[in-house]
Amino acid sequence: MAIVKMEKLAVIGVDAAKENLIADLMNLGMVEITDRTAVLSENEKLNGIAVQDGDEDKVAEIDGQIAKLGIVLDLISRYSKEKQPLFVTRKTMKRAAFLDRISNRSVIEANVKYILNLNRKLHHGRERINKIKMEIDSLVPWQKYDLPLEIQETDQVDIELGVVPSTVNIDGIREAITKASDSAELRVVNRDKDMYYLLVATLKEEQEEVVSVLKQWGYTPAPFEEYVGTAKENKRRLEKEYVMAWKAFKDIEEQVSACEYMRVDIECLKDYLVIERDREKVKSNFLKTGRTFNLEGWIPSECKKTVEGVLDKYDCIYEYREAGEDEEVPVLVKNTSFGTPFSAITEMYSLPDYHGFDPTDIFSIFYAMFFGIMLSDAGYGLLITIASVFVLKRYEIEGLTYKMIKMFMYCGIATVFWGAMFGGWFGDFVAVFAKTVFGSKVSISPLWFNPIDDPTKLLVFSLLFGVVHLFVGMGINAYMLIRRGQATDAFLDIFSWYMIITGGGLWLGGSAISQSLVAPGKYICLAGGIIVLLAGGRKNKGFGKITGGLGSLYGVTGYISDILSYARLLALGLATGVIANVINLLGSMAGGGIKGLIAMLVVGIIGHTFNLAINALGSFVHSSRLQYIEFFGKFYEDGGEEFSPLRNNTQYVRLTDNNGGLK
Amino acid sequence: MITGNVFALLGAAVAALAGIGSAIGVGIAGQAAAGVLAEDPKKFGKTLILQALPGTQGIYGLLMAFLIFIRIGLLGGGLGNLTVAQGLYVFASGLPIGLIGIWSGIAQGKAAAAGIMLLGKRPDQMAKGIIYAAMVETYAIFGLLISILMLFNLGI
Repeated sequence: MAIVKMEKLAVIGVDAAKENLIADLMNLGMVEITDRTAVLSENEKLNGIAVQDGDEDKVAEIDGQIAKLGIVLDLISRYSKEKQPLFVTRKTMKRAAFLDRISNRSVIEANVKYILNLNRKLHHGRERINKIKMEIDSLVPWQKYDLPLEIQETDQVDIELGVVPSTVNIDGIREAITKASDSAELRVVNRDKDMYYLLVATLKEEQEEVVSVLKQWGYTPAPFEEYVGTAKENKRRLEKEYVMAWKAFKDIEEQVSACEYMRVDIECLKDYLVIERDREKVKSNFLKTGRTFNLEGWIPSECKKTVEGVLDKYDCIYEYREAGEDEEVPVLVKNTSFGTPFSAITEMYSLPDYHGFDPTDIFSIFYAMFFGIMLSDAGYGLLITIASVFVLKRYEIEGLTYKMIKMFMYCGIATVFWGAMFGGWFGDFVAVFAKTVFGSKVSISPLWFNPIDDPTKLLVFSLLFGVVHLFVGMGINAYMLIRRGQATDAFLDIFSWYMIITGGGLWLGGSAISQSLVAPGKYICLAGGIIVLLAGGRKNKGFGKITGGLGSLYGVTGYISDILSYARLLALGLATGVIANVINLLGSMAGGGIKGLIAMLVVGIIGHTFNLAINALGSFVHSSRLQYIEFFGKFYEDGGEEFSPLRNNTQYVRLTDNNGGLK
Repeated sequence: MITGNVFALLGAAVAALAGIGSAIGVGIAGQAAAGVLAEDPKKFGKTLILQALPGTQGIYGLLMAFLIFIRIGLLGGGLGNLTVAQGLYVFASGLPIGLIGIWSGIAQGKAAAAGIMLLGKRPDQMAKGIIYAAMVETYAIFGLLISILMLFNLGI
């Protein structure tokens, strides 16, 4: 059984031991705490005796600190000059070393404060730079205006500077102003696609009137109150300021990137706070009385012994109970070492229901096989395998990424196998290379056959592989039905289809093997068809008993389309092979000798990289699809919640001296 | 004089038209991807995967065109002399992937764009977005399959 059996654990203990117990359970990472407080509203007898535990204020306070550290860490990594590794991995650390790192908490917190302060300065600096830039932009159109900006009037004359939209008729304005005042003078200082930049000189007593006329045309005064000197001088001054501000900003950036050395400590502190927060948070699921506490949680049956050791240590009282029929039980899957990486595929779909079936171990073989047939090139397979092994050796990756890369390693091996079977080593690179460069005839012959020579043969085998895959899926469905005591259903609904498909296959194609298979095939197929026809409507009432059978028999279209779907094994396999050959052909067109050698290598590296990328993606997607739609469609019951035990949920550090839970 | 070769080459040309579908499809998905990226630039790699999905029709068309070239000996240097009937056979074999490729590429582009929007809101559900887009591709694959089977069973 690939889905781990869970039991519900209920614990009562004394308050004094609570904190230590929680810490120990966290290090074990084997119990998923569930909410116990619902019982308060159900059972009135508890009123006044037990209340919900936990301190939400404290949780919120720690959350605030964590958020602050998050900002600081983001800042450090944004300005860090260290090269980001390809995969971000957690540092392994012993608990003692971890605690030692944060023992100097006041220093770390001072550092955090220092960096937050730099962050504030960065904000201000950025604002200042933007402001200067805007000012410069606003001065640019006025460069031709050579009076000092502070001169806004003479004894008699008032000088107005301002803009109107460039869409207005400037002669119209001029006319209107002249009408308002004889002496007013309007000059266009500059014009761009948005605005006219105007200078209007008027007698002081007519100023108001002229401005009110201008306003009708959408006039806005230019805000030059605070400037001294000409526009040109001001722009020059601001440009200098801009350079200074920019330099200051860069300086602060430098200071931030110099904080790189503080990073590990801050990361540790953040992880430490997360642990502390979780420890506090989980208590809100507990009940407490004056001196005791009560908790409940799911525990994998196989972990009982270990957890009991801890519970006994703190003199807790505990009991177990089995999961109820319609209870939501968290799901933990356990697979063989070959199957485990493929659980990434299951997880991406949705975890199986607790009462369902985890097919990962079974489909893993098919997955790798289909991937191999679709990529079908031993050279590409080798590249994928080598790259995966390299990454696995080089980086300590965990979780989903680890599973995916391990999975690609297996898929790469499968690709080497199928590539060798079909004779594809970077397409026909060896043969073309030998012919172009050395003028000799060498080729790697396929171990089985080359699909380009006989696609029909591979089509037949693709469909056959598909039938086997589907049969396994249907078999799992039958297994689940039988396990639930519905053997009759298994026979009538599933084995009948085995008969129809097998019989039909022999009936139609058996003659290719032996003529004597055709007749039995026909009878098996018809017998299966009759079972479906008669039994299909057995759960319906009245007339539905007849139409139900017909409806079920119509399901044959579903099976046909499922089986035909496996034709993609051929199509994608051919796509890789033919395009690889085309790339080699293009490379060989440069002619023979050293020139041909270089051309083949250059075209080959670029072309094969592209072909590998696009077809590996295709193989991954379509191999997944064959599992999700065709295989899962036959039996899969999804919707399980992932088992998430109480544990040290650290992001940066992996503590090595606790087992870190089951995952 | 019109020989079969003309029709055979027309067949290859029609097959390569599947690229129209891919071009439009990849374009549609690309627009959606850029929108998602505006919110979160870290999703570039993931959106790229979804954007690449409608690209396969073009590859199938290219593949079919090359298969026709190889079959009629265009790439070997010696273009054979096909009869008009043979030429029309080859022409017919180019039709399925050419036509299906155009429309399935566009449709897959739309599905991929929707998958990209899904990725924007629920990154954990990305695999399902990929599968939705891959559902469309099935019919392009069937088209390619029919094209290949027609070409290889012509007996040229």
